[in-house]
Amino acid sequence: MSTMMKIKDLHAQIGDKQILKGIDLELLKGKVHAIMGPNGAGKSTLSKAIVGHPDVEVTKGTIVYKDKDITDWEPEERALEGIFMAFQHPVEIPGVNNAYFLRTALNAKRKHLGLPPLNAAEFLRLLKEKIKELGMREEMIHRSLNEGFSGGEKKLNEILQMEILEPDFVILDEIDSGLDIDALKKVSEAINKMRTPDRTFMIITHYRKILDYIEPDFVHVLKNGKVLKTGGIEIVDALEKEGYKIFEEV
Amino acid sequence: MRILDINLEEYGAKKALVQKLKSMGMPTPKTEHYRYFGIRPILDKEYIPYSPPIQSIEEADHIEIVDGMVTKAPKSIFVEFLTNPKVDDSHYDQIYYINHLLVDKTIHFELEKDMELTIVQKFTKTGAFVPYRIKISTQPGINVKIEEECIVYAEESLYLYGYDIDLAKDAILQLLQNRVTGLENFAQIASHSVRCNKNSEFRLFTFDFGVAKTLHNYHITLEENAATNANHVIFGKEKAKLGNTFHIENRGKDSRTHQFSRNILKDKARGIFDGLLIVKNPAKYSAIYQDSKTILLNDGAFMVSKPQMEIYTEYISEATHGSTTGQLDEEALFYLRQRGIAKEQAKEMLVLSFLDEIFEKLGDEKIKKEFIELYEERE
Repeated sequence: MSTMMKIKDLHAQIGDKQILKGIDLELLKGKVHAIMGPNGAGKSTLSKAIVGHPDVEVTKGTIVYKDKDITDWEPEERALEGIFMAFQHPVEIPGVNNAYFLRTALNAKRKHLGLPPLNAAEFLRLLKEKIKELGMREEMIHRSLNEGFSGGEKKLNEILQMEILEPDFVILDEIDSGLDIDALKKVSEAINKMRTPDRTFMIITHYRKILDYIEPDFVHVLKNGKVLKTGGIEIVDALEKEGYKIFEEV
Repeated sequence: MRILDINLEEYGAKKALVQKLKSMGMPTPKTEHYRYFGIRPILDKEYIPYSPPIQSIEEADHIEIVDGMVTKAPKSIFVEFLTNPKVDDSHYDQIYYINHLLVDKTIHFELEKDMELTIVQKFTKTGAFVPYRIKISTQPGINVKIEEECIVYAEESLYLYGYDIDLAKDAILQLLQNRVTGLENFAQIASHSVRCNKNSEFRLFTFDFGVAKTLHNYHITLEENAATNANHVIFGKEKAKLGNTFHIENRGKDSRTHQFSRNILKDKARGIFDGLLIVKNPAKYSAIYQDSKTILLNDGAFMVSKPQMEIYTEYISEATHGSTTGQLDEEALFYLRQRGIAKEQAKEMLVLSFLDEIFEKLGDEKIKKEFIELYEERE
């Protein structure tokens, strides 16, 4: 099994607050890694550090992705290399047309890969195919990005972007929050379809439910900015019964 | 000559204007609508006065005005020169009266039928002081679109001009003022007066892009059931001072004012939006709306935004105003970058989305393209 991303002794802060205090994590190609932990454990900060969010300052340690040290890379450089984050709260951007935004993003990636850009007609054909598969309403692609979308529609729009951009490393940051059971099933099905031997998923979640639909290969428990435990799905079962306190003495 | 040296006693023939100016006094840095513009150095500067001679007008598909004189016009437009035009006696700007005082011949365009018209203004006299006035009057019930373009070559000069527009009953006039100024030491103060008669509609779009020092002062009056829909975009950079001030008076019942301002400022540019909407006592059931938003692209940029209302009637159907100044939404910027869009392109997408409502309303891709070209210019 080859490594997709190796995080070594990662320390990071937001403002003056030290949140990650030495994360060591190996994320394998083709595998689904679930990241669990109580509130304030550092799950979201870890995902922000991976995608290069400007609020997060890495003070020590490295993030190596596809054998390249990306710790100091710009967010767009990481994205073009295949790192994608489905946001917990996707921002609404009035005036930026959803389809135009997606075509700009796709063509930026195609340019990075040395491929010619898709023209409007070619892109629209691809987009329509994807929204049909996801069961989305076609009018959503002509609206402003995420503006006025329901919680479920916003999450589906994140999945649509993932399908269009075909990333290699996907972070799903609490993708299950705010979804009803039908929407959760729909989103999970779409993610499962995207599972391939070359693509890695990192699922950040508080709840077991999504892991019933998307079965993880590894589960990592974070607390106080460190990885306390790594194992399989049995960890989730233990957490369900006992809560996070069972790992406190590890 | 200096503007401050103007001797009012020499203009005895224009007694009413002299009286008006004496009662108002000359503009100073403390004059409310000039407070943030830096009027003193402009009024204090020595210029060579220039009075354009009347010349024959060449037939063309557009109107061309070079340094205050009409040089080209379509045959279908009636052009004359007025020696004693009717002056707005309740304008708030002293420069309006100074401008009329100094002008012997006001250019008058009489518009008699529906039309789309382009007015190209060329400013070519370096070091000059060029005052002139343009009067536009319409026949009742017509629908006219005017696009004004500015071409600026003049440096270290001051142009004082303005429109006196008399919009007849039931007429619609859309005035698009596209002011792109690429010269830092070009100054322009323009005072406009627009009278909207019963059931008429005045649609104003102003685009102030560039690096110069320009201020436009608009006095707009609305009679019964008249409407004005005013939309403004300022994009200033380097040391630009670009501004618009307004007194819009709803005088007749059921009159409506809708004003919408979007401003983008970078470097050390300053933008001014100073708008006073007034609802007079007879203007019952009127509606006024004012909205100004600004994005500062860096720390040195500065916006003066003063939406204001004065309402003298109890019966009003809407009165809303608001103003915000901030920076680009960092979370939105990050979202776009996380999808692989380069930072500068992502910024441009957000800036365009901010202006989108005005561009959409205008439906003119040309102005949008000009904005993008100017925005994309790198130092």
